[in-house]
Amino acid sequence: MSALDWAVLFGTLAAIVLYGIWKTRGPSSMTDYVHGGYRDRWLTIGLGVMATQASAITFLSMPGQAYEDGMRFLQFYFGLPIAMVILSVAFIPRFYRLRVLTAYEYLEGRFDLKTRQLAAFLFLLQRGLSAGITIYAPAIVLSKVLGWPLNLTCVVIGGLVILYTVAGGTRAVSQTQRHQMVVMLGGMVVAFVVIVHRLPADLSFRHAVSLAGTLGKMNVVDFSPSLGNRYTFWSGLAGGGFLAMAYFGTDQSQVQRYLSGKSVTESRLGLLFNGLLKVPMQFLILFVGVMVFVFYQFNQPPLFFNESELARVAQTSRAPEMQALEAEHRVAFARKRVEVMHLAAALDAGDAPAIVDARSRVRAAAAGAEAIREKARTLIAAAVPRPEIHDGDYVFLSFVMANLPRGLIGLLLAVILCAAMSSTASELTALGGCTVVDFYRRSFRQDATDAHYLRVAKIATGIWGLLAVAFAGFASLVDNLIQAVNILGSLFYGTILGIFLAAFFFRRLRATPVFVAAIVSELLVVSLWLGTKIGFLWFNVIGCGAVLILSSLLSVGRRYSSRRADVSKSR
Amino acid sequence: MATGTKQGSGASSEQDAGRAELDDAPPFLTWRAIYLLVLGALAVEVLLGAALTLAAS
Repeated sequence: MSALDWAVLFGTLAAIVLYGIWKTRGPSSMTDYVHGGYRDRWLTIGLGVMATQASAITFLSMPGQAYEDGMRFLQFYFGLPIAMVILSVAFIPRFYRLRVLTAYEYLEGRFDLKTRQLAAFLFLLQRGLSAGITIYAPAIVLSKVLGWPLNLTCVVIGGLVILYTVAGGTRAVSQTQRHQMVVMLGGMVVAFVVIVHRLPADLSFRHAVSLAGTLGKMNVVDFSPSLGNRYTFWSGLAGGGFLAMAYFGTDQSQVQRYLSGKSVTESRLGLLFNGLLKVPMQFLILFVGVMVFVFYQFNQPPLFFNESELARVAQTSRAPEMQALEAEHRVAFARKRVEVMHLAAALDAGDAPAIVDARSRVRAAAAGAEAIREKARTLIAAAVPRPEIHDGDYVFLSFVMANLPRGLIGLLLAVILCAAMSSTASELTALGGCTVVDFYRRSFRQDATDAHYLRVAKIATGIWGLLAVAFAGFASLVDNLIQAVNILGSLFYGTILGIFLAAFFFRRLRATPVFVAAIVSELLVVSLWLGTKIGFLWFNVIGCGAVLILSSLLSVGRRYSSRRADVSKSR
Repeated sequence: MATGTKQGSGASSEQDAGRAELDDAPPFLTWRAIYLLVLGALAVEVLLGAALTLAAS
């Protein structure tokens, strides 16, 4: 990396962090730490909510996802705007009315302590594991750039985020997130412009999109009703909608963001701003990945995007086999490039029969190149211990490092690190705040001073940070980071959302049936995940539905048996 | 901040009614119009996505 890149990277990060520290100087309280003192306007809330969700994984993994699988992941976000409207109408006023510090506090008033702490426990479990993955993602970047071992980089990144978060809490997070979000969006727009500019001069933008479509990357909307297909319009609308409702409505890392608003109106407008901008923003990030794919139809891509794995194989006896595959891959690329040029020429001439013929030739050539990549994966798996055979998360980073001009590399790395800091900081303050408010203050020490709770919240935040660093050590075992985070969320969110919907809309339901139904539903979801191939987004619907149906059945059963007992007593 | 209470600061609904932060008037348009704007934008995005899928395949 050049000196200019380092200057841009550290200049951007230092400016944002110093601004956050300057804006949040002065004494702090527990309310400040958890909700930033209830003083944010809608734009700060909206950008903060978006920045919390957009982790480094979003910018590392999503372009790679689009590179491999096309645009269809966008459908995952179709339910989000609907969820934002429902949350604005039903959730925000309820939380405000009781001025809760955490979402789970609401459940104690409505049900009882055990239901509150069950929901809080499920949140801590899920978010604690996810925080490990969100620390691992930027560690990939820095370990590549600095040449450090990945585990050491996880420790260094985690340590920095812990210090930053423990020092500032939610106030610092709020103040820095909107600037981080501006850097993130600006950086991706600049990256998109540069990639399109670097495509061949005689390839129009329309033909670049058509070429991507030919190779199956422009699959934006799929109306097929298959349950096994992970990303369809229906799974996005229903499963994605439930996931968004659960994530934004019950995950403390998000609830604390919008409850930091000055009023219900500011919080609602902040969430609706997110509902309006989220789909276009994700479209942009995925489309950047598709344009990287088109770029690599004209420029030789690496055989395997995670070059450190290739370097490991090069030190084994299987190195000559990898070299042979690399040579084979270069030949396959050259052959494919010829076919791609024919297709571009046919598209330019508007020659329909030639387009059809060229498309089938391009697809065949692409399949040939992909088969060689598959052989490389098999070879890596056989040649080195603990191999990392999925390189999707490295596609965008590899492209940035090899092809972007000086200065812009630093900016894109700043985007990734800003995203990491903003989401991890929110997660850690939420984990620390929830631990203190829902467990320590509620069940262990109820009469201490505000300063004491603030101190314990900071310690809890630090401990959660250390645990997240430990979990990060296992993140390399997953295929795709963004998918792993969403699968993890989907395993728990349905149940938590079911508890909240029961609290809000099913007035006759009482605590114990909901508590029992939540435990059974969670076990059901985990069993389905382990034992079936149902697309993970549906777990949000299943978990939520199971809580509502089971708790209703249990309530009816209890009422029926108590009535029978009354009748037999009266006899 | 109250501690040891079951629910946050334990404010009653009578007190809530007079609290400034519960004032729920959007600064522009009505809430219904804002919700329709968000949902309408989603509908347009889905239609554009479907059109793009058809055109590029």
